[in-house]
Order: sequence, then structure tokens, then C-alpha cells
Amino acid sequence: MKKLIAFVILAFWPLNLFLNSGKQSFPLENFTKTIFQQDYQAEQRILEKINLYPTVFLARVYQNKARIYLDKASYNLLALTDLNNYFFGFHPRQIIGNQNLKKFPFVSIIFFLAGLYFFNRLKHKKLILQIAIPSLVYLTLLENFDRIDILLWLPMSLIILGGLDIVSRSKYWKYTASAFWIFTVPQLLRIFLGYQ
Amino acid sequence: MKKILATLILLLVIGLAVLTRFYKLGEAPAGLYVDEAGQGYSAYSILKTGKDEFGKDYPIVFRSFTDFKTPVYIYSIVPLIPQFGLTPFTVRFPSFIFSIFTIPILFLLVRKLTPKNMSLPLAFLTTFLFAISPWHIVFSRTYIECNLALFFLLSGVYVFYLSLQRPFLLLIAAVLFAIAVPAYHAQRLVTPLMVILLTLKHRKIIFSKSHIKWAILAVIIGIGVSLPTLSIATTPGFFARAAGLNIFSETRTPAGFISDYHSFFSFLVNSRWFLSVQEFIALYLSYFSPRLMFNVGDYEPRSSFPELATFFIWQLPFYLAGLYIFTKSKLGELKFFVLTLLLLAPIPAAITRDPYNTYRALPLVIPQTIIISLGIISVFVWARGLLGKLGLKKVFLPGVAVFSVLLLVYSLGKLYSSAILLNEYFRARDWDWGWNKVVTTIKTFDSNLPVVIDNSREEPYIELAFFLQYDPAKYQKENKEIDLENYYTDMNRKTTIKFDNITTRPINWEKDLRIIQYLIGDELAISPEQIERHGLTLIKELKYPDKTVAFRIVKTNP
Repeated sequence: MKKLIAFVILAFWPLNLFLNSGKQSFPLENFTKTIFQQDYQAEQRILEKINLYPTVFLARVYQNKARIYLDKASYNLLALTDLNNYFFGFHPRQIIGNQNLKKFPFVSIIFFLAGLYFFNRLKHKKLILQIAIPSLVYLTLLENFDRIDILLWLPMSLIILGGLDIVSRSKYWKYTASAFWIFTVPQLLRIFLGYQ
Repeated sequence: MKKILATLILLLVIGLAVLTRFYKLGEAPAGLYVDEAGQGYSAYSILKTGKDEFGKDYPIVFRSFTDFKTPVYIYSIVPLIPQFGLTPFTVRFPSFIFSIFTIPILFLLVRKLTPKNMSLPLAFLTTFLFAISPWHIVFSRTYIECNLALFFLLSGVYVFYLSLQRPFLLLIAAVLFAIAVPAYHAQRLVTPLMVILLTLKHRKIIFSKSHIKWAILAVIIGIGVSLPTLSIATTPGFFARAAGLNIFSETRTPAGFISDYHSFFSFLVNSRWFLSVQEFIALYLSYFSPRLMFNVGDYEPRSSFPELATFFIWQLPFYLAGLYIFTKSKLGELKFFVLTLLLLAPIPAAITRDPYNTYRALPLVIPQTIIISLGIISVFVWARGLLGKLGLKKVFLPGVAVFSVLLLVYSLGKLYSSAILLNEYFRARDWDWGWNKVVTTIKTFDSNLPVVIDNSREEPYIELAFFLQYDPAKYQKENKEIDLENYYTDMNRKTTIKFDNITTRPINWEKDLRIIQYLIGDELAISPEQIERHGLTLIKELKYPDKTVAFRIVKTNP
């Protein structure tokens, strides 16, 4: 049972990616287009807001070009570290221009949280950090990380599997496993039928 | 000496809270939102006639737009009108004053619950962060009832803890909890659950000889105060808000429903239980999402300020540190209180369809602010230890002081930038800006000529009633909507409202051009092409701060 659950968790994201967004166009420039590219619209918005301030100093502190990049970077980083991104496709605040793909069955959030809480006990914690940190940095600096964030599939999966291992040895395992199948079967069906 | 210093610091924090909330109160946000006008006019009607605008004596919930507004806030406006007049300031003042009252209650509560070694620093830090909290400030400057409800909930909790040593205080706690419930819709769930959990946690004391008779009396008093609310608990009016927004409602299509799939697996793929549970968990978890807390914020334009989320971005690392400390440390009763409110507060908001709705989840600001404060203290202690090891102990405190002042100044500037400058420019439309100017213009008209105000997209009648300060007795006579015995059950609405020569209804582009009258509408209702086509005279064009057209006032030329 545990192995089957682990297999479903591991396969979920690649399956959803392949079946539901693989056919849609994916410009290769997304791999290299960063947040540091000139954003004319953002610059115009800054200029519009500058006129509202009573002093130039105040305007420069709160409305400046550096903010454009800082805002984009923080937006990306927080989206990449948002649990709703992986388990609910960003629901309820979906991101426009993003596939908003569900990456793991939502019941596996229990395993993820367990894995995070007992992170020090995980076998592959070094590997998780070695992949996750550089991937997060790279993805944060991209203009659109959609679908490229598959880079985080392995570290996320390792945390979830670590948590699965911990929960499977607890007294709540039967209930958790049952809840997993009850809610994951409809999700898998939706993926195979071409929906999310 | 210590007490004097502590009191002084608390007064400074309260002063900071007054500054962030009172500055331009009534003017910023500019405009008066339709719900605010509704609350204000209902209060005015109660003051003048003892009835609301529909003629109901002292309603238990206020019919308004058949959204049945909670009563506590509206009744709190009534005594203010003789002092301040019927103005946006008056409507927003209860929210402001109760937000200030919340600060000392929060201080006392955190100090009481926290282990002695950190109770004072944590209490001060929490109230300081609360004083500059964007989340709490946005609702302290406007009409939102949840602010009032939060004050009564926190007060009830604090007095409950006091009653563990002084049992007679259970009676006061019961009254405070009983007021919190009708103060805001979400409290109908949060407050009773909070009371149950507090009672269970301290059942040995509550059910002991010293407390049991006071507890029984408290229950009787609580039920007594709640009787008016309970008397309408089965009416459509009581459930109007919940029924309309509830994600589990049978009448609502759940999120993720695939409308073009009707085949064999439809019972699984489109099953209501699966989709609703998934949606509820997603909505619930969103209230703990750092992305929403520190970056994106509330999508609703009246529940947030531009470029400002519910917390400042600089608080994020402290939030993460605080979460770590919270899970690993023994914090006694504080842990119980924070965990309980953390888990309970998002439930009413997560049951409704709106994504990350910060006014329905307002009590969540308390535990999350406490966690951030814990994080700041832990980082402070860690940094002091580290700099001590590096031999830089002497520069630590001055460095922290300078850094803190700069951060405070930056945060206050950010609040000013977002709440005053950007909010006025970009969100005037969302705050129904301009109706006072419309009324000022109408007062210059020939009173013998009719005035028609288009209501295809809005509820202008209440704005007019408010700014005209229209006689409520006259309004009740001229605009009867329903029989009073059906006040809480009849959901029909009157679409045409009259104020002497003024009528709010959709403009009829055939009939209305045949008589001389004034027509008022937004830019969709009265476009430049219509003015030209129908030979209308443009009297005035009112523009929002961003220079887009708010209203056009024209005169017909039959």
C-alpha cells in the first residue's frame, strides 16, 4: 500500500504536466528570460505613481526601478514556496499566465507537512537542499517559471516520501491511507480525462 | 518605576495606533461605500424615529439590501450622530475607537498568557506590530463590523482568563461573548467554538465548587443577551449572508466543476463532496500562505491598500522564525490560545467562496502577529549571542535601535504611500466616491424639475438618503418595501426609490426625453454619444481622482 501511494505521488506531477499542458506551446525563451528584462509597462506605472507623491524623496523611496525587480523576485519566490501551488494549483488565487497545475494529490499535503516537521530525520535532506536551493534561486529569477518548476519535483517528492514513511508508522496510517485514495482517485481520473 | 515605564510605553504604542488610524479618518478612503451609507442611514433613522428606513422597530439584524447587516456596529453609530452629524467620519468612528480599545486588551491578554520571562517584551512587541498592522488598519479606518467583533472576542477571552481566579467575572465574559456573536457574521462560528474550547481546557476549574454556580449564571446571562439573535435564527434573514456565499450550498456550482463532462465517471469527477472538500482545504490553507500574507494580500479593493499585503514583507523572515519557535517551545497557555485562534479564525472565511478574504478572517491577525513577535524576539536573542561571541556586544543595542527606528519610519511611510496616496487615486471608484458632490450639485437645481438617477449598476438611493439627510419618517412613508411582519423573511426589493423630486431608477431613453428633467448616471449610463444624439445639455461632469468620469449630470431638452 505504501509503495503504491508513493508511486502515485511521484507520478502525479509528470502525468499532469504531460497530459494537460504538454500540448500547449512552450517558448524555449522561458528558460532564459529573466525578471531583469526591461518591462516598459511596469516603468510607466512607476512614473504614473511618482506624480502622486508630495516630495521627490518620498516618491523615489517607494517608487523606483529597483522595486520592479524586487517585487517580481519576491512574487516568484513566494509563489514557488506556496503550498497551494503544489497541492491545489494555486487555488484560490491563481496566477495569470501560469498553468496553475496541481502537482501532487492534495491529501499528500499531510505527508509533506510531516516531512517538513521532521526534516532533520529525513535520509536525503542534504540532497533535497542541494537541489532545492539552486532551483529556487534560478526559478525566482525567471520571468515565467511555469512548467520549468518541475525542477522542484525531486526535492518536493523526497520530503513527501519522507513524511509518508513517518506517517505510515503512526496509529493514523489506516485513516490517512483511506483518505488518500478517496480523494486521489477522482483527481487521477480528472487528469486522465484531460482536466485538472 | 517599572510600572510607570510600562504604562508610558503602552501609551506610546496607543499613540502610534491613533496616528495610523485617525489621520484623515472619514476622508481617506475618499468616498462613502454603499454599505457605509446603509449603516449610517439606518443609524440616523433609528435616532430620529426609533425605526430603520423600512419602518422596523429596533431590528435585530438590519435588512438594508437584504444582506441583513449585523446590528452592533449600526447601534454604535446612533449616539455619535448628534455629536458629529451624519458624515463619513461618524460612520467610521466606531471602527476606529474599538480598534484603539483593542490595543490595551491585547497587551493585557498576551502578558497574562505568556511565561513570565518574556511576557512584557512579547506583549509590547505584539501591540506595537498591531498598531502598524496594515491588515488591522484597513479595517479600523472604515465601516467593517469585524473590528468591533474582534474587540469583544478578545475582551471576552481576557476576562475569561481573569475569571479563573475570580469566578464572578464569568458573568462579564458571558456578556462580552454574547455581544461578539451578533457583532459580525463570522463570530457566529468562532466565538461559540472559542468558548467551548476554553471551557474544555479549563473544565477542572470551571466545573469546580468555586466556579460552577457562576458558570451556570453566566450561561443564563449569555443566553439572555443572545435571545434577540436566537429569536430570528431560523429566518432567511439570519442566514442571508451565509447562504449566498457558502461553498457547500446546493445552489452553487463548486470550483473545478467540469460543465462539459457528462460521461460515466461524472459521479466521481464532478462530485460535489470531492470538489467542495478540496475547495475548502485550499481556501483554508490560503490563510497561512506567506505569498498571500506578505506579497499578494486580499484581492478585494476595499479590504486592502495598493502595494501592501496583510503584513509588511520585512516581517516574513520573523514569521518563519516565529513558526519554528512556536512549534518547538513550551509556551504554556499562550500556545493554546494562539493555536486555537490560528485554527478557528480562517474557518468562516474558508467556507465562503471569496479567495483570501481578510475581513472574515480578521481574528487571524492576532495569532499571526504574536508569532511574528516571537520570531523577532528569537532573532534578537540569537543575534545578541552571535555578536557577543564576535566581541561586538557594545554596538548591538544601538544598532538594533537605529535599525528599528528606520524600519518604523519606512513602514509608516509605506502606510502613508499606500493608504492615503495610492488608495485615493486608484480606488476611489471602489469606495463610491462622488455622491456627496452629486448631492451638492442637485441642491443647486430648480426643485420643481424632476431628477432621475440611474440605478442599473448601483444602489445610489442610500447614498442620496445619506447625503441629503433625508427625513427618515418621510422615507419610510414614501418607499415602503415590505410588510413588517415579513421583515426577516421577504427577500424582495424595491427597485425605484423616491426622494421628493428625485427618483432612482434606470433611465428610459424614450420616455425620459419627453419632459424637462435632470438625468444623472455614470459614464456607461450617459455617454458622450448619447448626449449628442439626444441633444442633452451637459450640466456637470464629475471625475475620479484618476481623471476618469464618475458621473455625468445632464438636462433634457424635449
